[in-house]
Amino acid sequence: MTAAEETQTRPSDEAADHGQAAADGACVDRILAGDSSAFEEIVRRWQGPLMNLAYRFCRDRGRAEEMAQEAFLRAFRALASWRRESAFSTWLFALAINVYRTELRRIPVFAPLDSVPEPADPRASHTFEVQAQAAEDRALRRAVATLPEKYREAVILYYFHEMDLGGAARSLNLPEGTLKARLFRGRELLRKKLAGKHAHPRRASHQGDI
Amino acid sequence: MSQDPETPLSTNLNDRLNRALDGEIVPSSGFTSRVMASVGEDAGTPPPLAFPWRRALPAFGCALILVLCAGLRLLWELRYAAPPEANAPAIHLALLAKTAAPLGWLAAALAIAWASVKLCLRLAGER
Repeated sequence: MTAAEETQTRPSDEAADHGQAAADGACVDRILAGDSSAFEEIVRRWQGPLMNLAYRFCRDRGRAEEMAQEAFLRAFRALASWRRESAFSTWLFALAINVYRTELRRIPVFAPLDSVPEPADPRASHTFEVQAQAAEDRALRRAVATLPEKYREAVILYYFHEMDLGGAARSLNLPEGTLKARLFRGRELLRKKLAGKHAHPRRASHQGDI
Repeated sequence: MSQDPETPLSTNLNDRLNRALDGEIVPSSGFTSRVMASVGEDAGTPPPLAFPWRRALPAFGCALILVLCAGLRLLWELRYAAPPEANAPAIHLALLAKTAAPLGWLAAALAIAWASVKLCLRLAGER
């Protein structure tokens, strides 16, 4: 991937973002004024992204729900600390990542990622190519899961933000240059891991990776 | 696996990572209500009592003054006390007996303090 590709950002609908940010701000105002039921609107708006982010970290649907629930609860407790210098979503993602990080340090992902059922893919058919691709994806996810924490987070957040380097850097509270360096190093480690795996196909198949 | 071993990453790693890490899940139907239930429970819980610094500060000040006084007294005694004689076991024994006398009181005070703490914790737990 070139540097130009690294820095490219996804085009977004700024008007919609602005409207959403205003709605988030209004909800937070109501909650801080004592109307805790206004938090439901925030939960409905952000439950999808927060749960999917958690899912990318643990690849376990049940655990992702628990982690997202904990993130929302922490967000509710810490709402007063949102300084409004950044978007509510940025603050929420940063907080959620901290929660997920703590949770995964407490109980690491031990379950083999391959055993976790994948979401249904309507394009999926039981052709050989599809199975091979699915196996390749599982091997890649397993390799990502074994990366050191800082590289793993960089890789997961970068692709979660649809390759928006700025968005991922803000969520991780890192300078873009640092994130770029971690991505580069993370990919290098992945290449080495996958190359090693392919150099020992018999051992890899014994482990059930491919 | 039928993959070409020579080109394990023949396609762009970036695209492959994007595809492999993708995976949308939808929260279960009761997710929002569960979150709101825990939020409601949390909102209904009174905030933890803050440490009473204003009340505790005088006690801390007194304790600090006592420690300073004790330190100064120790320094004074070390500087001006006569060096102990080498062959005076009787004096040593007498000193030991004198210093050991309050140990019983010290042990009793510690036991009472420990019992007080346990009782407070128990009462707080039952609340």
